[in-house]
Amino acid sequence: MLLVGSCRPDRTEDTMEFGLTSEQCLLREQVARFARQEIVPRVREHDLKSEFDLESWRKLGEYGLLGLNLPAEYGGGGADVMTCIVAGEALGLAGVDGGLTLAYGAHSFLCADTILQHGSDEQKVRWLPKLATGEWIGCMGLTEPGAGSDAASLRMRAERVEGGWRLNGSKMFITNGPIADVAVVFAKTDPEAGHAGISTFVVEQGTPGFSAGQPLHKLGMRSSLTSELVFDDCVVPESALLGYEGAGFLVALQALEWDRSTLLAPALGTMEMVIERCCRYAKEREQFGKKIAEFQAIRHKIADMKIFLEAARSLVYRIAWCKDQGRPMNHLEASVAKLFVGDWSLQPSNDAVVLHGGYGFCAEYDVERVYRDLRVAAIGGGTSDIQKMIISRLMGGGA
Amino acid sequence: MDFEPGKREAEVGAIVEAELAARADAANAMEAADAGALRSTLLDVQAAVAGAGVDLAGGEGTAWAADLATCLPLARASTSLFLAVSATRQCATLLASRGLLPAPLAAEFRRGSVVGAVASSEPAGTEAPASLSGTPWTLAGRKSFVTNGPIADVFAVTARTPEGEALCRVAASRPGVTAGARIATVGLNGLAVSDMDLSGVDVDVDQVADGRAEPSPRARYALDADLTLSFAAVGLMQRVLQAAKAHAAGHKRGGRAIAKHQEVGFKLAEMLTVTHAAELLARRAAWMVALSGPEAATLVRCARVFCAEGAERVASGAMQVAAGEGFVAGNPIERAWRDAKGLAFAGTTVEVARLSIADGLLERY
Repeated sequence: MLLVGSCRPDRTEDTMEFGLTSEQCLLREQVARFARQEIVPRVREHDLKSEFDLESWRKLGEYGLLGLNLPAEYGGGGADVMTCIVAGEALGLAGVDGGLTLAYGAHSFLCADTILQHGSDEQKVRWLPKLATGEWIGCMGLTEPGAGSDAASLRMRAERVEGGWRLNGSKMFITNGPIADVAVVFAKTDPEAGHAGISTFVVEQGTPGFSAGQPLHKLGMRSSLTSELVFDDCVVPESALLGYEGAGFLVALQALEWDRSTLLAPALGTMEMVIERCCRYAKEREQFGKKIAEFQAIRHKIADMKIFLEAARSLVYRIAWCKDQGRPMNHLEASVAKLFVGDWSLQPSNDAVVLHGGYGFCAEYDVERVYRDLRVAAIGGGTSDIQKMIISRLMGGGA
Repeated sequence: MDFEPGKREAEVGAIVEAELAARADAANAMEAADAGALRSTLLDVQAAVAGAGVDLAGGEGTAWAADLATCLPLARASTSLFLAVSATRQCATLLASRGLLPAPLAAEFRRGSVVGAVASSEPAGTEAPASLSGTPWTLAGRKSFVTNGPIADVFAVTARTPEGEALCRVAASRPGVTAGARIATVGLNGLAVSDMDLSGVDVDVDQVADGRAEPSPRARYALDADLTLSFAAVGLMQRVLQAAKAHAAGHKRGGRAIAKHQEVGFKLAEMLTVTHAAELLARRAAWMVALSGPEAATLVRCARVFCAEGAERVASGAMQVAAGEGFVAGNPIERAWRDAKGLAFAGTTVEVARLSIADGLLERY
């Protein structure tokens, strides 16, 4: 439960409880205020130019958001998952675009958290402090041109060489790919071993044989740069292996849970922002001699946005709570949240554009950007069909 | 934040299961039962639920909202029984909110030994709403769609006075009170619903609450009814999803269970997703009401719409999965499909609920 003015830490007896702590409520307000002042003024420009906003990135780092999920010993904020969700919501609520929040999510959760969870002390000390401040930008490479959610079909190879590993292959659709200083990537170390033959590596930019392609032109999330990563006889030291050899599939599954939890949070805040925009517009715009807010069809659209938001919020909070309980795998809760946000956000974001009429089709009103950005919710991190496959398997169907 | 269901919920679940297990084909028997049999079943279940610690007198303030989640196992077992038990509790809660529930009667409610009903709706096009007049008060008018109407011992009746809308406690045995015959409905057939005639019913002064207090009895009842209906819908979804899942696991096509075909497996995944979203939304709304949170009414309306429409969607999906078997009268899916329709317009209709949600947002922004 996260509603303005309703943050209540109270515990009702013997039933589910949905309140945020007073610290989380305060954080939400502070992050939203910070984002409105320091980031939002540049959002539209960078979206329209499909440019990464490095200045905002640095500010996010200075403010402590990029390392919010990391322990203090690595320069982070030591926050739990729920608190990270609150921060993500606040960014969306303030009007930060999906591109920047996606870049933030890929950096902090897919990359930094994976190193935190599976790295050795040396690896953590080497990479996490720089990731926590945003001095270095991180990314994660799982998807390949021929393999997405079917991780067992990865083709990228890692072969043992003296003192380390030689990587060959490529990764596709990698958020932060063109600008990343460090990449967590998955490769097959034993092609015959199926899932158990996948391992995880951390590769630094500048390593010979490692390069990133040109940024892809995308429908939405334009201020996050996405590209291919290419590994051509890229030799990395033994110390680049993250976790133990053959553990890559489990590492990937845990990383994907972030895609299906914390990375969804900005969409909640964004929808709340959209509702406010729609209400204000509906009370200004007149048709047939009256404000369009007086038409039932308009009010129903606004109500449906709110209903989606509240239903989605419950599911996203649940997966955050599950992760905070220390449960290593929460596939069902994660996939349910992802499927719901992915599929059910399409209608309200479309309605927001239609409600604004011609203005909704123009960048000045931002709702078209939201419409484009939210489109990826049903695609990235496993499409809706993949989520249905996971859920049906967990239900015993195995479709 | 805590997403673990309460312990009492499991206790209620076990008690409800035992109570219904003792009655062969309880759900279908209820559909065919006469009012007397329904009352008997309801009293047994009320006593069992009360024995599990659910306060059918409503408890303090808004504690009733938390108890709705506790009673979710009952909603999962039978939509009609859950609504009937809730109608009793709603009657007590409404009366208590206006000081009209004397201690001895409250104790009876707590034991589950009395059946209550709320008489609020009136027939469409009514020009003369139920009203109180004279000194002492005389109640006259007609009420419609009163849940538990034919089997209730006591009614909470809303009525007009010159000062506004009042609430009165009326015993079923009071001269002038006539509950009509059970209304035949498409669904929710295990529920005893009727119209109600009030002809010159004398009401003592201590059985009438002031008509000027806010919120009005009708508004207070609407919030309760909408949240209750949300949980009824969630229980229905959970029940029907389970039935569809079981069918899909056991029914084979092309040599393998239909659940393993994507067209069925994916449909079940969508149904489960909607069910989870509905359950959490209803629980969150109940939590907010229990705490008298600032957005409680809006959240209840959101739950009302999402759960009701989700129930129709999930019940329809389940029937598609079960195909001909689900279409046979008496199948739990067929019954749920009919029941779900009723949940979409009972209480506040989903259309009016949407307008209410939007009104709140337009006022805020």
